[in-house]
Amino acid sequence: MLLPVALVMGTLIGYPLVRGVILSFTDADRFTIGNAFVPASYQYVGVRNYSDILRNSEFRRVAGFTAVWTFANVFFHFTIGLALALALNRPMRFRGAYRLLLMVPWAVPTFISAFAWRFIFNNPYGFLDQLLGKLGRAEAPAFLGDPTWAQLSVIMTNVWIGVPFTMLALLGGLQAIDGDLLDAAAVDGASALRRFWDVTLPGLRPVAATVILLGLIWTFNAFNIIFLITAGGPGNATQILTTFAYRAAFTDFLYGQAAAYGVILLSMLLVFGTLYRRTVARMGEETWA
Amino acid sequence: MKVTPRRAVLASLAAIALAAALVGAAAARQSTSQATTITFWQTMNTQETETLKDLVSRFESSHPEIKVEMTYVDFGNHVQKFTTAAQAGQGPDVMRADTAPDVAGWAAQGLLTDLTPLVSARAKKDFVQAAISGAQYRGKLWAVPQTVDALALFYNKRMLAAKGLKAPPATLSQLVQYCQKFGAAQGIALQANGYWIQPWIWGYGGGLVSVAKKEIYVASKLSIAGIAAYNRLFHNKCATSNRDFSNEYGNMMTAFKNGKVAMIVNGPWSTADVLSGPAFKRSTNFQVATIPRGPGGQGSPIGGASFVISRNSKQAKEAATFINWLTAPAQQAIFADKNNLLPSRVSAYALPVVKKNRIIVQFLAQMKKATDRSAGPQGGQIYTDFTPAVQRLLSGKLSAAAAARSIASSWESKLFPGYKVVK
Repeated sequence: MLLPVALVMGTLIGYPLVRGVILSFTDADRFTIGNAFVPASYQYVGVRNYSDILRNSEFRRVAGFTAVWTFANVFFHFTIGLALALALNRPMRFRGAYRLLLMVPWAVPTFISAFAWRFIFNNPYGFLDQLLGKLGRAEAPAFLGDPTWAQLSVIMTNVWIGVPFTMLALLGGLQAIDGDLLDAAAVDGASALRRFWDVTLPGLRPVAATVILLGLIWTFNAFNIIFLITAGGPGNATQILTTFAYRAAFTDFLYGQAAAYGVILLSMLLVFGTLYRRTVARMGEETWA
Repeated sequence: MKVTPRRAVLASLAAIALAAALVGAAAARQSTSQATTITFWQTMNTQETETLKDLVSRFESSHPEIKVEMTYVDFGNHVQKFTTAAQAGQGPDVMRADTAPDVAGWAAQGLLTDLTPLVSARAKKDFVQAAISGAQYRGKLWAVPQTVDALALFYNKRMLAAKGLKAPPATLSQLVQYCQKFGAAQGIALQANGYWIQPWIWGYGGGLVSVAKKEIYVASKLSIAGIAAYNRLFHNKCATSNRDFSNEYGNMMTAFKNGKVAMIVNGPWSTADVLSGPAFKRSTNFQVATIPRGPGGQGSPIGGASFVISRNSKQAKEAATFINWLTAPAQQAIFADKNNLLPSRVSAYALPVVKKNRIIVQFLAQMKKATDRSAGPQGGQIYTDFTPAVQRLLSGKLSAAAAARSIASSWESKLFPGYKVVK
């Protein structure tokens, strides 16, 4: 019974993985990788790709921004998502409509959002620039031209895109909290803040932990937004590890080095993945596993 | 109804005629379905694509045995697309290449069909030098050139005249004086891009790289002087301060087309688009001049488009028929007329429609001052780290010397190992 599964997994995941790992120890590039007409001529170079990458100051800068990017995004996804979920978790008119509208950023294909935001950030013809001009500001910031602003711009876009998912997941978590507990706390004289802190938040923990870990993995791996808005620029300022690895593979055609990036990324994600599994196991939430 | 013998004869005759007609139709259909279909990835911009579509349908009607299936591929990532596809045994029969940076690399990878036997001797002798040098690699012909190009200075004649400027700037320092007359954001729009900075590097007597001598010049004293001069344009109220690297090409074109900036630097491919702008309703208001002379010379990157046939192609012969037809002088004249593209064939320049196209004539003056930038199979990769360094320079994060050194060291480690970096 296991054989077909093992075969499919072996061809779809095992073979590319093994080949990737092997390539990461070679100097393969577009001239040596070989094709139907030219035999492969790359050579094994040991761990040179890895040592080159780890010694490269550009890589360290990119890794630094990847950390900023991941944590900033997850932080804002969670806080804004939680605030919106709390706001929507009360009886109000048109709740369904609000919820639907708040889902829009998540429902739109990311490449469309990316192009829309690139247009919004356009300097001087974009929406923000025109708006700031109308408000009397002489010069808008260079959203995509200044390294720091470009970093803020891509993070802002990704926050906008990611909030709905967090909001929805947390809203589900909120609705699963037993209302009687909150009522009992209120009867005992707990303030609203106290009820939130001691009843609502602990009740949200299983959902919150999962959402945060999934968010970390997704954001760390996010590619489209940065690639389509800044392409990593200006001057690699908004490059994250995935876009940087893509550049090594498909702009520089340094396949050996790109494979080494892949292995490094995979090992980082394995750490996240293990953490994720442990957390889920600890929560005893088999349904989320 | 009673069937008389006479009627029966008529009916059977009719049936035979009908059957014959049906067979004939089927045969006709069969002959079209036997037509060879060649796939073609093209990278032309909107205006050029209009002309191309027209020409392809003309080709199909004059060559019923060949069908062309065209797919648009974005110029910005055509190298990645074709390289990856062809490497995996896929991709189109015919690819449109950016001659100087693409062809040698693909040929060295073994991804192209040798066109030496598929192009007529007459055509080979008829290509202009700028077109043929990039299409050849190791003594063989790998691409059929379609156009040649170089960057030139575009200017809005009325805007210059309004400031009392009768002629375009002749030197790079005169260019600075010119555009300072327009105030901060209206003199010239330029790109934060390795390709666009090249005329300044050559203008100050610098260079990029020499494969023959195994030397890298981009960090030489003269190159740094050129890079610094380019950077100064953005800081002395000359060039439009470039504040949006993602949208800079489109913004440059929008500004020039709307008369918001007096000068830009661009190539023949963009002229049809320029002329569609409100500032150029009177087309003679748009003028093309050679890139001004610098203290160390004058230069502009030689480029052009060509067509290659993938080595994966099973119908190289039909594909060659198509690209030979598409690059024949008569077809080049149509592109010249509609899109002001410079033909790759000497004989095309003798055709009246090309001869009287003043934009082409103005560009020809630039071609005489243009620089061969071929850098072997790795030539296509030189801009990968070049452009980010220029972006950092223009956003004030790197000095000209530091930017130049970072380009040189990345070229040395990634593209040209063992080359000497000339100081």
